[in-house]
Amino acid sequence: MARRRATTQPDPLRLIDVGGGDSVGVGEPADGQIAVGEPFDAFYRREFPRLVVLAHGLAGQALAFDLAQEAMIVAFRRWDEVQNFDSASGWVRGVCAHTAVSAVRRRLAEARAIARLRARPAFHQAEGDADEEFWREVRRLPRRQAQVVGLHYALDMSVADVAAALGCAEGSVKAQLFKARRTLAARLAPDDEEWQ
Amino acid sequence: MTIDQRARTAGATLRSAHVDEPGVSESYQRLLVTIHRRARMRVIAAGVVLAAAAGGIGTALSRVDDVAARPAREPPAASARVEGTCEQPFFHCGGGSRITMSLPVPATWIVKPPFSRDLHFVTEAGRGQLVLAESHRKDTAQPAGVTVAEGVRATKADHLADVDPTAPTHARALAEWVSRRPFLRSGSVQRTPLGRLPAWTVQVQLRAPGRLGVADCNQLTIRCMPVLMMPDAASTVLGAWGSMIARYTFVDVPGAGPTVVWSWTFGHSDHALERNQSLIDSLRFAAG
Repeated sequence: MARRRATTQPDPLRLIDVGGGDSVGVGEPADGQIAVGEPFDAFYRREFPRLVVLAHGLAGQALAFDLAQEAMIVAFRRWDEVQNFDSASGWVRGVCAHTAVSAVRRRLAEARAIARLRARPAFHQAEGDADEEFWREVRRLPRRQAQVVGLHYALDMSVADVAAALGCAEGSVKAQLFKARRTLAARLAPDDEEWQ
Repeated sequence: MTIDQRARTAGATLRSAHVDEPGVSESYQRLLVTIHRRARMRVIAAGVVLAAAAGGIGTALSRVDDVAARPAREPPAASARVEGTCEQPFFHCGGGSRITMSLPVPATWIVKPPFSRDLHFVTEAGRGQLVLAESHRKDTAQPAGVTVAEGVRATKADHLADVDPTAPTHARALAEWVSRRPFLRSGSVQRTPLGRLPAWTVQVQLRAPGRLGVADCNQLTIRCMPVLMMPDAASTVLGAWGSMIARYTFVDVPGAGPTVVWSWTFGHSDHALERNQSLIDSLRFAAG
């Protein structure tokens, strides 16, 4: 019966300071690196708020906490492997970005099917502020473009870090950002010539 | 303001909205509870598999275990690498268009054109467990595809997407239950084994597509008639609307809970369902 190798790290379940109320703000330094052997709870406390931000941008506030939690559960299950990655933070952000975009895409696909059948807009366009409008348009972008925009703008990650998180080349990230900006500019400010 | 400036502003606003996010510790405790509960569920599921596979215990368990133990991000075969699905931790792409889905009881299918290998999927809320995956066809003007879902429950017939606690949970009884939905026009229930697992299929469509209920399927701005739902997965609903024609194949998968393979198309023609069958025929559950 095949089993993954036993972890040499302490069981993360025994490392939790459940009484610790030290909240971690997303404005704290984010180097995307962790020390080898970092306990999972420290990783969680640092990274979870950032995943909530990312999921909020890519999938909306209602799903943000659940999607962030799902990404963290995936990381927990594979912590003995993930903690040795060059960037565990980048990896879990990539998982979160994939999951969030997929959650939205499935609903959009259903909505498009209905819109086609009923000849009406797929979604109600709720009124909202300019920033929320921006993120609504990001959710309509193709999968990869949405992921890149979410990581780059919601988490303020560099192009290199986005490329590492998504496992692609920096040139690919730049190209996706270019296309995304062009599309977003056309939708949000069609008269604006300065999108580039 | 350029689009880049607007994007940076929107990002900064989003980050500031979550600065000093309260409840990280509480979220962490919920994660631990979830993981402990899930570990218990796995023990129970393994017991069910053991009981159901008496006589073939070693085979059933080792197959489940082999899939579960495989690193999800193991590099797929170069020829099978596809952007999207194969990068997800919930899927493993092998050679020959084979995709293994890390459902509670893992399942494998062979996804070839015209089916998209860019799978849609749903995970259980807050648990990081894949419970539904579907592939859409790329060769049809009307949407069509196949969905596999584990842990589905029958919904009440009053148009509200609530679980019907009195409805059956076994494959044959579920198929017969669907065939009796008053708002569906149904064919007869047929026994159609899936691999070595017992399964029953029923084909349905709405009797009156224009007279839909009050329920929104999956929080969309549409009206649908819910048939099945997944209460632990953000109440994802598998329902009927418009010109949809669907075949529900219910399978008794040991350890998986009520499982459905949902073949669907729109446009009042069931030709697409026949073409969906090749994907369904390739489907194999680790327990079967």
